[in-house]
Amino acid sequence: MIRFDNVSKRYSEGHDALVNVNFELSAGEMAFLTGHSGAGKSTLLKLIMLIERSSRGQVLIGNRVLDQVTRSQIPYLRRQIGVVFQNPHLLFYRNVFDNVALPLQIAGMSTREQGRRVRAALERVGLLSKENDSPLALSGGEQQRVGIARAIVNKPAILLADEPTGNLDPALSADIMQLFQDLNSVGVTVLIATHDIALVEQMQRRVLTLDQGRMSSSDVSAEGAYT
Amino acid sequence: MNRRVNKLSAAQLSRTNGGSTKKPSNKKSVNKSQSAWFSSSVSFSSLVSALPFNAWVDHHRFSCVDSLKRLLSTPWQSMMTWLVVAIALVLPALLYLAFDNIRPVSEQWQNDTQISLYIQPKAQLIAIEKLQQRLSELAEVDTVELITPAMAQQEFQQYSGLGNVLASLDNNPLPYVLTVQATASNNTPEQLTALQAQLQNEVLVETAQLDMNWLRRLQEIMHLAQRVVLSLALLLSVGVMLIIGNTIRLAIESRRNEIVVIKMVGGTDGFIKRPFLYTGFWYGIGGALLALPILFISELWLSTPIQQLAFHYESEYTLSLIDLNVVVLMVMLASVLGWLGAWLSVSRHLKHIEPE
Repeated sequence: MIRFDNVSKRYSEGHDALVNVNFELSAGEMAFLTGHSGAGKSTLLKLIMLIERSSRGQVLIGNRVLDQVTRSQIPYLRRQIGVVFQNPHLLFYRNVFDNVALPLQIAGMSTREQGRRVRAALERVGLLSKENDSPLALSGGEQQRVGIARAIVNKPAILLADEPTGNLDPALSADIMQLFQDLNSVGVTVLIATHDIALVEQMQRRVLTLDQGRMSSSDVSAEGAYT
Repeated sequence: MNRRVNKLSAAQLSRTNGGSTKKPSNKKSVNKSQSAWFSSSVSFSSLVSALPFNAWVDHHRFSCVDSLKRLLSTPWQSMMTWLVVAIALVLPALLYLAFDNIRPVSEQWQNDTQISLYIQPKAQLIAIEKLQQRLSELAEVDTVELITPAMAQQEFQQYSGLGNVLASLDNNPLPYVLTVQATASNNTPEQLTALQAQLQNEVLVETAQLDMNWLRRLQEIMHLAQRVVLSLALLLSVGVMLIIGNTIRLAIESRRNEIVVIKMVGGTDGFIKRPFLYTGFWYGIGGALLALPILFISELWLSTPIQQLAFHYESEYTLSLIDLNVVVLMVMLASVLGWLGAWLSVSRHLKHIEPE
């Protein structure tokens, strides 16, 4: 589903963010991306979202070579990838429902279908009762879950998360991780960038480790399904 | 090369998919809820899915109404922009109207062009009347009017303020004058000049005077005025565009976060631009609507002096208040300018707002 072939990324100021990165994540897999801050985790996610383009090598998403995706096609690619940030980037003048509905509005879905999908997504993150609230009235953990609902409302094939638990206490973090695991169990390919090693070890999933832009290991911390 | 990679990865993908059956614990739940949450047939191959037409219309309607609501939610701020736009529109519109009002007057003067024949002082009245009769029968001539010295003196006293000077003289120094009005089809400067030369040859005529120069000058002044109005209108139109563009730039800045989120979840440039384009449109329309009362008041203010001026030039003349054409033209022009200004601004600034 996600594949990097010898991917390097050098920013215009000469900083090498990624060097010869190779890995493949198959459909329905869940993996963690770890490394110190500045190791290239965010850059790797940006390449998948086409926020940045690789300097060398190929990134493939579901058999599609991203180099060949034109600027005007990028929005259609992003509609098929859900993304969760450390800061959920909610729009505070919209209520929870409208925040989650945004991707569906963009895709031009009918209002009735939007309602159905938004409620299904909110139910999944356990916030159906708060659909009319302002995001400002929610706790940090709840806001993050609204962000996740927005990321999955489109039923994307891929879910990316960049430090999704960075602002949350351990209990809430575990909740959020459980949510990702549930989504993965229904077939979503999940890639989570985090530096919370303890949490990663607890989850017993495949771990991709970046060190100064190089992928130092692509281990499976448990199960042994991928060697 | 790329195609090879594609094939390769397809093969690998199908292999790893097959490999995933190694995880029997997950498999059951995957199948059960796959229909609800995960569509494995996600097509990355066609990345341009046209927006359903209804949805497109809906978003236009939403953007149109929402952008107006936003403007009205900050009434003072919006009013400032509307006023600036209105003033920029009133200036050329007022000049245009003034110009449009003066033009028929000048045309009327042009049609009034006549040749004045100053008669030899010693000529007899009977001979002059015969000449008048003869000239009025010429094909090129419409009417010939006789102004006697007494009539001329009276008129002179009335308008020049030098009446007393004339009255103090023993006898009236003014000559008989015949004013020759050419027919409408013989009214061009060339034809009039030819007629003038012909009349100059009459024995009784001392001088045949055709006052063309001031008319030519007037005509040129009118051309110049037209250009001035036009270039002013162009400059101020560009001004309106830039003002609205700059206001839109501020609106874009204040909604930066929203734009980033929309780009992140797959909003197209068109989707993001739309509300801003409508904002520009409303700035234009609002400015034009505000310009109308300003224009109306200015006209009322100007109409009295213009009518007095017209009276002194002996023309029947009333100022035409705003006509519908000007109103429609102004509103349309302003909305297009607003839209264009917003478009320029959005195209320029949207590129710099990307998710980070």
